[in-house]
Amino acid sequence: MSEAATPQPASTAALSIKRSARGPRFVGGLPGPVFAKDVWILGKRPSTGWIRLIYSLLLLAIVALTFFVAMDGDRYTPYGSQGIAARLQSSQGVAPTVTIAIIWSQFVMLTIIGAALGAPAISDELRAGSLATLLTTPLKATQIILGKLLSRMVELAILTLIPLPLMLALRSFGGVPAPNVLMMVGLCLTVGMLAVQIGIFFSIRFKRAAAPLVMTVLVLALMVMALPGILAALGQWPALQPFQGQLQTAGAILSPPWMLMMNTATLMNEGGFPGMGNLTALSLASIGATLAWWFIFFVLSCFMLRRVMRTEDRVKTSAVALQAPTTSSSSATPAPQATATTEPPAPRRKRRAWGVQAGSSRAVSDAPVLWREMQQPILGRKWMAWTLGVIITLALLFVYYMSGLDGIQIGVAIVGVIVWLLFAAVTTTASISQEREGRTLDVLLTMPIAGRDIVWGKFMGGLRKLWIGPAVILLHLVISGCFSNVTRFFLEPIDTLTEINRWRGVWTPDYVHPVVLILMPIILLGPIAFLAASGVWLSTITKRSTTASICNLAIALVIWLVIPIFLAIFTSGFMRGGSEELVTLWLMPNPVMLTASAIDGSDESFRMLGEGFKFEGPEHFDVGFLGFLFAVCAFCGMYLFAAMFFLRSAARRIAAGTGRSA
Amino acid sequence: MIQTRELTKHYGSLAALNRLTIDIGAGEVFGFIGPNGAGKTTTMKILSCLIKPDRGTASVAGFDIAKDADQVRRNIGYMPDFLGVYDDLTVDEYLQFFAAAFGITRKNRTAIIGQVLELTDLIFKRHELVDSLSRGMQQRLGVARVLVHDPKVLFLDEPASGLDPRARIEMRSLLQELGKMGKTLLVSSHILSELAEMCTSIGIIERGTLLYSGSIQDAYERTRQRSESGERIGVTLETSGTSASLIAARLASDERIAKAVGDDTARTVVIDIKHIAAGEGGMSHHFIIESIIAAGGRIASFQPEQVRLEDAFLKLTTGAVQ
Repeated sequence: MSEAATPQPASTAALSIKRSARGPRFVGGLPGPVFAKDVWILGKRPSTGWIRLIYSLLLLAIVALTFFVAMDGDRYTPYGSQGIAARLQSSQGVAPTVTIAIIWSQFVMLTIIGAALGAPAISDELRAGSLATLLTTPLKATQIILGKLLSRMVELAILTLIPLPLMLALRSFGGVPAPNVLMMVGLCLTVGMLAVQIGIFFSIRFKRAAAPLVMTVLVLALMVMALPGILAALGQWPALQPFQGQLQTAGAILSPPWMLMMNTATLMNEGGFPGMGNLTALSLASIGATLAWWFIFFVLSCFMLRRVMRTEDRVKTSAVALQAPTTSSSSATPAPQATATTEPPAPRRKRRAWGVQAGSSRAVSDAPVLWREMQQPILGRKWMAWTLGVIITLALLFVYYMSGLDGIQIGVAIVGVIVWLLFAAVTTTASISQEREGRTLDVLLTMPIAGRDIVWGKFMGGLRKLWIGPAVILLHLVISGCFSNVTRFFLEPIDTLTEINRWRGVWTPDYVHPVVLILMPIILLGPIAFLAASGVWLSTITKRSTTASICNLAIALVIWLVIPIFLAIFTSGFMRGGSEELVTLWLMPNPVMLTASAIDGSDESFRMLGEGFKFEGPEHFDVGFLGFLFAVCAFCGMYLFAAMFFLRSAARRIAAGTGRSA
Repeated sequence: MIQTRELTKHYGSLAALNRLTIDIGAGEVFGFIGPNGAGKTTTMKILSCLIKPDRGTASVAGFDIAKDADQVRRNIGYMPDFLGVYDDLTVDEYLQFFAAAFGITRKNRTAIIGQVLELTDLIFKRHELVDSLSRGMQQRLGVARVLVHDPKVLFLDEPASGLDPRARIEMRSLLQELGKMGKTLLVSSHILSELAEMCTSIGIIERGTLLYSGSIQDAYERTRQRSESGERIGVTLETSGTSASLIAARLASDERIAKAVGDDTARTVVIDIKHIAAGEGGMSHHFIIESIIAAGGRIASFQPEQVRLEDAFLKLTTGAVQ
């Protein structure tokens, strides 16, 4: 038998040549095959095209609105009809406004898109089982992570370049200094890069992409908002007051949004931030700090992936060890481990989630989908719950200690509501997509279960996991309300009014009234149920849970943020006079505004609960407590109605595809 | 039990199924054979009411898949090619979940689950997490799941894929057991030798077109008919006696024999009998033995080569779909 190497068949050789010709080329072996593969795959995905299209359209809409409002506003200004020189001067102001609008939109969108691109990077490979294959290649962890990162950076770079021609054209108007714009674009891009890297870091730990996405958003929010806030607050501490300026500067450097705000103020000629130093140097330092964060997460990701690789290696080694007696032994006696060689090594024992007891099984109810959703651990593992609990407690204690309990009720509650709504928007989309990604959906759909039973079970499961947020907000209101009132009652000098109040048995002025504890659950129930339902609906439409999460996040942002901003710009630009009610009307059911109104209103109307409940917005409507309660219930009903609509639609979608009853 | 008429399904421009018509009787174990992308999974998904056909009709257990989808679901058990499991449940909870979905009362569940776990040899894993089971065990759990509601028809898509030889043998005997229980099975597999052992009938599909549907014996017969020779026989001669090449030359002159090749070193003769002669049944072998003895040869072994399912598959699919 000839031992000569068999030549590669012509057809295979042709195929490999064809493939390499089609795929992206890279220079000098860098950044590697993972980069080439991911760029190729990302480029082919329809979702990439959709992202680019929606991104461009949104930018176009923002630019168009900002531009026309800025130009049209001149008609109403006193100098609008005062001659060419004045008009030219006002036109110069348009360029910075539009540039700032573009850059801020870029910042928000690149951060979200970066997180969405990074979150499924490794978890997709884990789920598809291709990570194990990837780990059998001689590729190093660094190469894999770098390949994943750079392929996603290509996408971010394309998105960053989209508005470049427009920004260059805007320079012709004047008033847009290049260094500022470059710094701001640099900040946007580096934050996007950091979002990708954090997403990749978390995706190594999770099989499903929704979890890394949530973690990325939370960690980013903590890093760019909470950390500078902590530094600024530390500056207030008597012991650290001599370093207050330095701490504030450090906080600003660590917070790209803060740095963007400083650049915005400079571009709009609103004056800088005295005592903070040279803005260009600060912006560069901020870019450097973001890159330093990126590097830390890059190293951590490599370290984590290396651990996964070592585990894979161990599994392989144990498999080889099991096979060794039959493959390499020269002994004539047949190996007694014949059966052992055929059995792959037993999978590592999975850590049990909460509620699952070893050696026993729970009784499943007659509504199995609902039952399973109700049994799912809210926070996965015990350590996660403990970590989150400790972080929340420490954060609250820190805020209470630094700011005191007086006057922080609204601030903390609003931050809590915003964070929790974002969390709800992202997490509730995993329901059906997870079944699809886990390949259990086909089996579930062969069951004679009505579409509404599946959808209802998933919806209730999603809702159940979201009770912690409102609970923490209520806990904060109870603590800040009760303790501060106690302090006021017993430690502060009693004035006549307080004496009367104590005699009446009512609450003290400027503090949270107990009715807020009734109002807040109603305020939060509607929007959270709405997002949970829209999440379930989206998960029946999209294939990937990350796409559903992004879409649900977009729904929340559009309803509660984008539309009010557009309305505000639109009404201030085009509808001068008597049109601000429109913005107020739109803001009425906004949960953040309702939270502010509830706490503020209870603050002012403690005596009779009759006045002071105003709806926030350009125009204030004072409706009193009963009116406010009625409105809150009506808005909750409105959200629940919309939620039912989404659920019904989701049930119909499931039913339509499989010929079952909705 | 299973009937399809002109089932057609397109994914874009790709015809996944092209006018598929099959009839599978009650109690049959039907092997669905075809290369990847032939349309096996699409057929199973349509019959399980997971996707709708573009054209054509089908009925399972007497219920139309379009009109009585719920009734179809109650009468079938579908096991996909890749079994996803709920990793947060134990084996018992997993089966309870599906039993509850089929409306089995809590009172009856324990006994039924015990029975299916006994049948699938998983009773000792009853309270273990599903995720901790090996691949072979998870596949058996998949079979246990489809049996929970005692369906008449089982659709098993590649039930032995990814299993080691031991688990494959266990799976095969389990499916044979199900066949004996009177279930109608539609099983797809790439491992044709396994299908040959447990199926009563087969369907061969390629690029969405059904090339053959019928009993295995009929498939073998057709294979023989399509081949130039009806049957191949291998003869080993003893060292003493006439040489193999001489005997082969003698046999080749017989008009009933298509070809005879002798190997003097190995002392073997391979004889291809013409189809007409093979059709004469057992008598066809006698004249060969007589001819060899008459030529002075001494027979050490006489082995008619069996037609294998692989041969049938190759013969029946060659050039069938352009």
